[in-house]
Amino acid sequence: MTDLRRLLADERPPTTISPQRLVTLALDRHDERRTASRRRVGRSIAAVAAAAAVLAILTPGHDVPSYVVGRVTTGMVTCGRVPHSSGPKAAALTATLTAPDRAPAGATIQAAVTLATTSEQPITVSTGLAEVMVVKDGYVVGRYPQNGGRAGIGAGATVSAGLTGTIAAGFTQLDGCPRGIADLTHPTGSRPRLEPGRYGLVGVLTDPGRDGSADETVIVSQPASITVS
Amino acid sequence: MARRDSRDRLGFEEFVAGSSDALQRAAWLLTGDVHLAQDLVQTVLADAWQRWARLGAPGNDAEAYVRRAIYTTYVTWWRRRSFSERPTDLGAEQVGTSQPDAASQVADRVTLAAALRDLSPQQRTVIVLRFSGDCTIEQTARILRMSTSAATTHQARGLARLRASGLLTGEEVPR
Repeated sequence: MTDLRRLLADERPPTTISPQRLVTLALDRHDERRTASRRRVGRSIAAVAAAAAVLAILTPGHDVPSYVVGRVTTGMVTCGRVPHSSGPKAAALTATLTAPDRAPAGATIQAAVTLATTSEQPITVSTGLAEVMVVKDGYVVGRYPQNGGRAGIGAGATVSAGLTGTIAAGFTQLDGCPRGIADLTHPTGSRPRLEPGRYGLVGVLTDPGRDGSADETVIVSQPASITVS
Repeated sequence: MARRDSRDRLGFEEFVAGSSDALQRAAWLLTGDVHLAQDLVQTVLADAWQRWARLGAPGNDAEAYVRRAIYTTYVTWWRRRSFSERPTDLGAEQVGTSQPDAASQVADRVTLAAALRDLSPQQRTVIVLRFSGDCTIEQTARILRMSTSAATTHQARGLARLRASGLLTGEEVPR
């Protein structure tokens, strides 16, 4: 009788790798994976931001439209009042935006929003990229809603007393608000340049909650100062 | 930190030195393809290195973990269909030169390699786990995430095909 166990026990691969070589190859593969994983995270953030930008342009009636609602005393085009924090989690959370304090008009700046709480209970926030807005005199004078806000990136953080959480960084271009509704007939290229001067930057995070808008939390950071040259 | 890394590395090297033959053999039996088997072993060892601080601790059976990882990773690969089954280039010349044993044993090995290649991945994995990995049918089903009856069916069909190939001349009696 031919014993299958014996046959399998006798079976050997035609070639094998030496243990030393195997260790080297395994460690190399481990390092490659770690590097690739870091690259993937970077690419994912960029891809989500790009997809959100395309959606914002192509979707009529986008829920955060950019449109002209008034002019501040300087005559600048604005796109709304500066939003304020609201929703069930807003009272327990404070947001701080970190960004460069000086940049030329038209430049793209990166910002990070850090959340903190005094609550003893941990608070979990689920949001997209932070939307970074340029503000002046209580008005928003520059924003790219497609760069943040509700993008479904699934970023999130759990914060508790003494433990802060940094939400995915947001970015914006230092341009003015678009002249007209930002859609296909008024592409975002119709924005005026920001005039040199001092502005504020705020980061806005939107946690959609579980029940849609009824449960939505909006967290707005205190303005950080920036000088546009 | 550097000292700990070097100690970990030493332990990992010792582990690979002691188990590389068995691991490569298990991967070869599963895949029937030299390159795929080597790829599988490297993938699993890379994972093991990532967990080595815990895996290499005294009292942990690293080889059992890695061997099981070879089976589960292979199952994941076939489920994802990220690779296609390729005929091996196991020619008579390679077999003959690698193990110049008795002619019948060489013939058996050629037949076994060919017969295993003819099985579906599921059948082959069940057969290898049962007859080489010494797993019970319940353990096999758990590793492959299938019902016990499905594992039994794959085993029965696999054995039937091996018998049909003329490789098995008697009744295999699995536990």
